[in-house]
Amino acid sequence: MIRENIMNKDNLSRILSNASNVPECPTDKFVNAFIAQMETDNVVSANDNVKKHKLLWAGGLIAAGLVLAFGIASTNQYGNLFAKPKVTMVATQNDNVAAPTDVSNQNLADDFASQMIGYDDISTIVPVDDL
Amino acid sequence: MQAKPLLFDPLLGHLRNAANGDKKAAAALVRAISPKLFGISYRLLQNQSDAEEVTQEALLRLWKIAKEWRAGEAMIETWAYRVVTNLSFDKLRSAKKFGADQLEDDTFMDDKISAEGELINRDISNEIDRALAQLPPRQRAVIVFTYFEAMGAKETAAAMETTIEAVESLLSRAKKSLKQALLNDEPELLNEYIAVAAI
Repeated sequence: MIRENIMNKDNLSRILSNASNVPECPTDKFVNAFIAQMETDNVVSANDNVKKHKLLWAGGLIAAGLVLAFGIASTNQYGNLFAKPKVTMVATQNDNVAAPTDVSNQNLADDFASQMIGYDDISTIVPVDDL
Repeated sequence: MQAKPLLFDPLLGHLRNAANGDKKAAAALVRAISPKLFGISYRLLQNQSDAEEVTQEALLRLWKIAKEWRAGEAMIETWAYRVVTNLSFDKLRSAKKFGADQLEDDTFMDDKISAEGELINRDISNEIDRALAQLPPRQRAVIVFTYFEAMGAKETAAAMETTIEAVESLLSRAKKSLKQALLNDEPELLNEYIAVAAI
């Protein structure tokens, strides 16, 4: 009778309760190993962050250097960036000046002539850069 | 379509804090979960150092997945049982105690018994352990989950990555195999088992 009913739930539970006990779980060992792995992985990720920061610094310096080099190369001899030199007309030649016919005209001519003093060749239009 | 109800997982807080580097939370998580993992692996492998190795590996995998853990999809404990069970099966396969096709094979049981039928020690504990050790791994697993870990069919199915119907079928075959293993000893001994258990 017992043999036939032996595998009902209650009997089986009773039989299996006689199985040997599980040894004590080495919980502390598992905890230490788990934390050691956490520390290893966190150290690895911290090192990765340091490398990233160094790369960032290096990249920043290079970028700054490039900007500086570009700025220097783009500045002309007069210190202007991308500036075209300014042209100012100082003197012009007027070929159509009429000869003075009277004294007032003569005065005009003298005045005109006095303005030309100092110029070797008034027929040349000389562009002068703004200093 | 009805949304899946969110599972309340008592270990979730510990896991999340551990993922953020909280060592106290990590210790609490391991203390909560490792005895059961160790118990399952020991029952399946019946070897302490193998059980420790498998449990440690399961805990390591839990740490690796901690940051990506998605709450509500599965219980952490159930996931861990699954991992430790699969690792134990791998261990049994690698030890060549059971081939891949013998994980659930019932016929394998008959050959084993006839080859190892001689009793060396009538100690009840040893005999029960021996009978359990003769079960194919998946039958052994379902006995361990149901009778030693007091898990229900649903939880056992989740841990073994199968259906409830498959668990019930497996349990039925496991009981039959266990009975056969125990009855192969002298029949009076089985009565003795019952008598001792009833005290």
